[in-house]
Amino acid sequence: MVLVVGISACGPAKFVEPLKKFENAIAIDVGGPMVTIPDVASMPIPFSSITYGHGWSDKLTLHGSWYTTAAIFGVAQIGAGATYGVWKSKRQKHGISAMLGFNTAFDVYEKNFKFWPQLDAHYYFKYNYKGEQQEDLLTKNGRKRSNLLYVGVGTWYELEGVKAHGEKQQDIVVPMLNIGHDLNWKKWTLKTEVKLIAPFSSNENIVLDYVSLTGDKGSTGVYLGLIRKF
Amino acid sequence: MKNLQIFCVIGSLFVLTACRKRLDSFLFNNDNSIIEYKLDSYGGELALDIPIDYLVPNNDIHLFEYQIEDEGEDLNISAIFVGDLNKISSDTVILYCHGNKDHMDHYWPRQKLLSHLGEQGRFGVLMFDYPGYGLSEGEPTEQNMYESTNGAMKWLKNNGLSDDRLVIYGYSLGSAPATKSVGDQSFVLSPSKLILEAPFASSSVMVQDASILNMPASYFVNTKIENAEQIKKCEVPFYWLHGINDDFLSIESHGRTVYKNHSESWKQKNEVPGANHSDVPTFMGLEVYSDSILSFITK
Repeated sequence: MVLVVGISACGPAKFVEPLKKFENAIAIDVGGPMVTIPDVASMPIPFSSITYGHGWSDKLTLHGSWYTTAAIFGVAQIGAGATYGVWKSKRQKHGISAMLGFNTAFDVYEKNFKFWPQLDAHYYFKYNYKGEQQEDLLTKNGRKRSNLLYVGVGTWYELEGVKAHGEKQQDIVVPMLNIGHDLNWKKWTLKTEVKLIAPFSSNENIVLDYVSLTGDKGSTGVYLGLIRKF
Repeated sequence: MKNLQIFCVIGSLFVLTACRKRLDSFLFNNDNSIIEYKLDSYGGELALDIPIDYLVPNNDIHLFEYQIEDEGEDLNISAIFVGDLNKISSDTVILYCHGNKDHMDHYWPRQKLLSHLGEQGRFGVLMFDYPGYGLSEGEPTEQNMYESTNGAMKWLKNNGLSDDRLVIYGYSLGSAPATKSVGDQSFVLSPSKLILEAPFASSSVMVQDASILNMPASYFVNTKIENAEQIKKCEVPFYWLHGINDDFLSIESHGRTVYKNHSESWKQKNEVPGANHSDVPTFMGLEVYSDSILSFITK
C-alpha cells in the first residue's frame, strides 16, 4: 500500500533574493519528497503551487501561495510570507535573506484547520554577474542575466502538543536544508531545488517509503519552478 | 477587464477544491482478477509459508457466498469456512479478518494454520473477502468492509453460533472490522474474544507518522479505521501480536497505542523480536504461535 502523504515540504524556497521595489512575480512550481512506489519507481510526490510575489521595497517581498495539488484533494492550503533582504555584499553578489511566514490548510470534508508558522534563512551567490552589469549592451529578451545559487535552512513549527489519540507530538520543529539554483533570463527564472526534509527524523516503519540522501532519516525533496517577473 | 481576469484565475483555483480526489483506494491493495479460488494450488504470493503437512481435508473446506447491501446495491461476498458445519452450533469459531492484500488465496495458509490450533479441525475458521477482493463483488470501502464482516457473522449466527463462542481475529487492515465489531457492538454478533495482529491505530496515525506534523487524516482520506478509539470500548479479553521490526505499521505508534488503550485487565501481548508486518507466526515459530493462540482462546 502506498499512501501519498508528504513530509511538510510543499514547495521550494520563495524569492530567495527579494524582488525590486514594485516588481511583481508569478511562480509555479512542482515537486516534493521522493518516495519509492513499489513495482513502479522512485519519484517526487507531485505537489504543486502557484505563488504571487510583490516587491514592497528593495529589501522586502511579500508573497502568497495557493497549493493546487492539495486543492485537488479538497484541501484549501495557503501559504504566505515576507522575505527580507538581511544583508547584501557591496557589489550585490552575495546576500542573505530571511523569510517569516505561515502555511494554513482547511479541508472541505471535516473542516479541519491547521496553521504552521515558518521561518527560513538563505544565503545566495550570484554568478555570471558581469552579464547583468552590462545589461544595456548585452541583454535582450531571452538572454541570460546573472544566475543564482543558494543554500538555506527552513523550519516549520507544529503548535499542537498533542496528536491523534492523545499521544504527545514529538516534533515541534521540522527542519529542512535546501540547495537551489535560479537560472535567470530577463523576465523568466527556472528554479531547481533539492531539499533535505526533516533530516534528523527517522523515516522507517511508516507507510511511505521515502528516499533520502540521509539514509533512514527524513526525505529528499526535488522541486522545479518557473517564475515570471513583471 | 484585468480585474475580471484576475477574479477568474483565482476563482478557478478555488474551484479545484471541488475535485475532491481522495487516496482511500490506496488503502486497499485488492486483486479481483481471479476467476476462481485455487487455495493449495494458488501460485501467487502467500501471506505465510507453512509446511506442506498443514493439510485440510477437502470435506472440511466450504466455499460459499452470502449477500450484503452496500449503498442500496446487493453484493455477493465470497467466503471459506474450514471445519465441520455441524459443530458451528456447539463449538468455538474463529472469524479471521484478513489484511489489505489480494484476496483469500493469499491468506489461505493463515486460515489453514488457525484450523490446526490444537489439532486439525479443533475450531472452525471462517474467512471472507471484502468487497472488491477476489470474487467478492463491489469496490472496497471502509463501510462495506464492516458490512461484509457483519454478513459473515450473520451466516455464522444462522448456523447456530452465539456471541460467547465467537473469537474474532483481525490482521492488519482486518483489525478494523474486528475491533469495531467488539467495540461498537453494532454487528449481529458480539465476539467474546479479540485477537489483533499488527493492527492499525488509525488513519490519523498513519498520516501523522508520514508527515511528522500533526496533520489530519481528512486531508488525504475519508477512511477512519479508528481502532485506537474503538479498543477503548472493548470489554472482552484481548490478545495483541506485533512484529517489533514492522516497517509498515510501526509497533510504537500503531500497535502499542492500541494495546495501551484497551483498559480491561484481561489482555496479553506478544511483541515479536525480528518479525516484520506479515511474518509474526514465522518468527514466533508456528507451534509457539499456535499454542499461544490456543491458550488465549481456551483460557
